Amino acid sequence: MEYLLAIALPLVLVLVGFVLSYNRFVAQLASIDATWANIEGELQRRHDLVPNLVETVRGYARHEQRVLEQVTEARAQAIAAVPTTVPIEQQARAEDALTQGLTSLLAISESYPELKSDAVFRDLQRQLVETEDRIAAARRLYNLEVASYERRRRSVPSNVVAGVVGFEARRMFEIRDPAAEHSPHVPR
Amino acid sequence: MAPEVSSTVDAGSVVLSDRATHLLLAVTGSDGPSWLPWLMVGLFGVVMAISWTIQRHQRRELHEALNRFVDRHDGWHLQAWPCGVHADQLVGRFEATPRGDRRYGVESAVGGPAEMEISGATVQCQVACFVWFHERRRTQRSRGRRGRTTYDRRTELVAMCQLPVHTHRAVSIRPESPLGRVGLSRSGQQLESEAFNRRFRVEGRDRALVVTLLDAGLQELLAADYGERGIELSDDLLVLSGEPTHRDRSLAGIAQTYPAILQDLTRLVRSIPPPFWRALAFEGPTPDTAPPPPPSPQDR
Repeated sequence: MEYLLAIALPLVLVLVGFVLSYNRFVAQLASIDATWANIEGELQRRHDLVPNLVETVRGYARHEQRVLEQVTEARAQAIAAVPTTVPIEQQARAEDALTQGLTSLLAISESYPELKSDAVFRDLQRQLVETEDRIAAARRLYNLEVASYERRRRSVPSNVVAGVVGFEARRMFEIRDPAAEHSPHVPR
Repeated sequence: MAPEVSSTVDAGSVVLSDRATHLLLAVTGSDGPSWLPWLMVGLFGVVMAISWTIQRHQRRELHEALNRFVDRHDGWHLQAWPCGVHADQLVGRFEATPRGDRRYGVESAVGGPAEMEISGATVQCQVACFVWFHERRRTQRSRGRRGRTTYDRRTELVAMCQLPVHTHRAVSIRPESPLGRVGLSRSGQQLESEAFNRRFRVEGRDRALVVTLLDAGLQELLAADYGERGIELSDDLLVLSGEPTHRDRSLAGIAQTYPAILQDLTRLVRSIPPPFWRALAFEGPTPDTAPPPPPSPQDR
């Protein structure tokens, strides 16, 4: 009986440790997915703002056709990169291209004072910056979750659980900070 | 009959006097000259008088120092309610203003309008510096006797700013516990900077707001220069607690720390990233955002 207890007790402890570690991995993955859903929601909101912004700029600056087409094309590529089958790096590059296009689009307003003072344009710019602020916050939360998950996935003894169950590596979402580029320099 | 009464009274007074002498001798534990107990009483009285005089002098010196400090800032005055907030509204609301076990309150409070840089714009806010005091119960137990309860008076230096926006979810950034500093019992929200995580315990229900507040620049600043300080946000109040490293020697008492903590508060507000203010729908320095003066500032 004592021998049996001496063998069974460590086994039970190991099993309990395994279950706790597994459950924590599952909770972390759920948290990563939830924060990623936040990013996707905010990215979608940004994609939705672009057509209105392009049309407003077109009303004042028809001669800037090249920039307008560049932004429209970048938006189409960013939308095409949203599905989960597309690698996260490709999605990040598509979003960077859209950020760059939007930066050029907003720079046009400097040459057109009437556009700059247009209430609709100012409101769209404000919405864009607020959306990009939220993207930045959601991206940092996502990356923090991924960093914590990856730390556990590689640490002893939780790496044993990750190896046995087959928890896969998650990649961080690294993009340029669009809000920093698009926020007006003077306060509203 | 009258002389008898008189002699009785005299005899009684002699007896009482002898008893008092014996009592004093017993207290002093000495069999020395009879005037020694009276000397002890006299010395005790002198010490008490000196102590009272010193305390009175320190109080007057502090009062003068506080007046000199408020004279440096337009519109500042001594306050009973910092930023117009009563002590009962502050108690327990921040970790820097605990309830304690008996008395609590605000003392040496000064405040008034100050220009703060918020999201690149200069905004006038109500600011106050004060000392929060509270008393903690301490029971000394000895074998075979009932415990003796005393109260320790504890103080916390606080600088408070009334912001032009409301943070609906409170945020608290407090020094991490010794165990947390070595990574054993870390609670709260972890951020990118390990140096910051080692020094601070961050708590806030709105994680996105916390992340927006603590960008890389603010994490670096806090870890470098605000190591032992507490920063808390609740509604429209920002509280910075803890002792600053610098002292203004031209002032006296706790007032020596006020210029430095006010400077630290101004720097902290300036360093809060613009996305945080945008997230709170800060609309810029319009007349509506300037907070009204405290409702009933009472000059002391």
